[in-house]
Amino acid sequence: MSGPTDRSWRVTRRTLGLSALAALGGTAAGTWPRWAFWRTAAGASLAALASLPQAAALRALGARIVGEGMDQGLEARLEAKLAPDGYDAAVARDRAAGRFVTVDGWRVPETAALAAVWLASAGQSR
Amino acid sequence: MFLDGRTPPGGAALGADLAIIGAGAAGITLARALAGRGLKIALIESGGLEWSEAAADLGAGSLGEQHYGDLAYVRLRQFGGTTGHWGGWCRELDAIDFEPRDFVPLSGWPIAKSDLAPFYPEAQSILQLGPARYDDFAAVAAEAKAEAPIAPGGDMEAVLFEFSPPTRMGEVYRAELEQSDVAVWLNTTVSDIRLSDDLTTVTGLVLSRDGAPPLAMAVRHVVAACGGLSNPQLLLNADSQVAGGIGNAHDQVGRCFAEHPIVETFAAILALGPATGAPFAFRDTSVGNRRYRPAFQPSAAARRAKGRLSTLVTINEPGPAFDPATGGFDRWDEARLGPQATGAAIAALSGAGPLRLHYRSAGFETRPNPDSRVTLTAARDRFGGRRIKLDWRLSDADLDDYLANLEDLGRAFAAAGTAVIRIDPEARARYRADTSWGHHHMGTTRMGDDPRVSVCDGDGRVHGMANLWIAGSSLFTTPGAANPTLTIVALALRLADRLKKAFAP
Repeated sequence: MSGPTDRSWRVTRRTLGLSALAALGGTAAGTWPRWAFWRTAAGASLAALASLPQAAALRALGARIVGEGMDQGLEARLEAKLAPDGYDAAVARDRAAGRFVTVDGWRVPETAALAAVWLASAGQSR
Repeated sequence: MFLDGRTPPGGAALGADLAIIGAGAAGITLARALAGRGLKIALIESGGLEWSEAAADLGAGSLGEQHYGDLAYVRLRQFGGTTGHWGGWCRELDAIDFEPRDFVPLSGWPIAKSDLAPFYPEAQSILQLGPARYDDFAAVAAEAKAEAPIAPGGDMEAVLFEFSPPTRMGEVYRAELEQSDVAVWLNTTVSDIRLSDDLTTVTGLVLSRDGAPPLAMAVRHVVAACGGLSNPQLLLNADSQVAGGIGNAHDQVGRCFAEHPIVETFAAILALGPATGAPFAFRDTSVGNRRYRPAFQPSAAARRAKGRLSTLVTINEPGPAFDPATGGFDRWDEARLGPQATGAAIAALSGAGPLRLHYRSAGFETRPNPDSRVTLTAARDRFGGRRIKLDWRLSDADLDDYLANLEDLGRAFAAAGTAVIRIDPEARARYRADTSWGHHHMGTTRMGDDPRVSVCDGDGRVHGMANLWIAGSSLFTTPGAANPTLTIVALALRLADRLKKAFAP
């Protein structure tokens, strides 16, 4: 028997699963070849996520949303968001443009959600 | 003058130039507006000066599948009507609410807001409100020395409710009516409406009362002002000469019952305002001796562009508080807010000081639905009138519009850096079980130009009848999202104006 939280989690997974995040990242992944990030300074912005003041909160958030299919093209999508001017600016752009994904019902800027997943799974080989 | 229907004065035959059935917001407004003009006015109320179980029982009935309150208690049968426990929420309907909209079947009032606008100021006064400032959010916020919570000009706009004290009309206007030339008949229930032989004119009313035989009252004009449940009940029960009831030739009486679904826990926001956790958007504010509550709704342009119904979202008092030091909230309701770990992470991500969660309350507009209706049952009250069944129908399409409006509001809050929104992923599943209501009974004798889909014309006169009028929110062609009392009073004033012409020599 599933309770509200279980149902909520399933909805979240449906929302974030192979649809929303893939869709939001698909364009970026296609436009920005993955190898390019790791050969430029932009790659450094990904690594810099760990030193953000919000890193602990992002990891906690990521623990709620990391799951099957979530890591597909993750770095490429995230790098595309961060490359111009870093995390805070990317989140601000998402907010201004209304780009959100849903985590347990909360509307989270796409960049924050991607960063959360990345940080929650940091250390794993990609 | 107050009379008790159980012990009426004997002697002369009863008669009235105008009989107003129901002494609530509409009926009292009409009586006051027409008093002192030499007309013989009878204001007939089935209850007394105080609430009683005996009077409430006359409103009892049954429900369809959708849960709702006990019909005996969802409105007050007493002098003053339901203003006796009214919350005082006031806001005009918007101009777009009156317009035909191709995405709202059966929309389009036979009057425009401009037809009603001349009567709103006096309605404000009757309900002890200040000058209307419902769409003056920025100025009121400035006077309250507060910042606007969302940017102006977007799809969502900040607007205002004003609170009436609230005006208990049975108390505030009792002395005035007692001293007027209006005869207020208490404990008197209209149990039949008698018509002329050609069935186009009301000639009399049958008045029932406890402990005594019915009385007959001859009338020149009649206004039914009994509310959105009892107006159709009255017309449908008046079938002694017309099968199916008066005004019901096209089987429209009682249809299109509308309420404002109230969903308080379907959404929450994490307010990112000042350390007080109570920026202007999230609490009532007083300017002078007026009390306002901010609300958020889709702009008229956005409604048209997106084919969207309206929603009026208000923010409830603060709920759980987040303490950055501990990284958690002081309390939590997982069933309504999801896992606390996610909420705490969202709060911590904000990087601000103490934060508060608020539930968001909303009443939203619904599409007219002919299957959402009031009908009569075989059960009878003690005066022989058939009791009603309310079959309120909720529509998934209406909920979809509400949720879409919430999404837009969430984007507006986020863009302004004011708040983070949460919408319950289970909202659709919870809709029918967890929806409350505003005690707003609307649409059951709706106005319209086409008698095939309406009961009254744009003046509130029952189609095909020369002297039978309706007052109250049962006239609403579409419900809008605003609370109805202010518009009920404005419509009653407009009807009073119309009746003055009818009685003019």
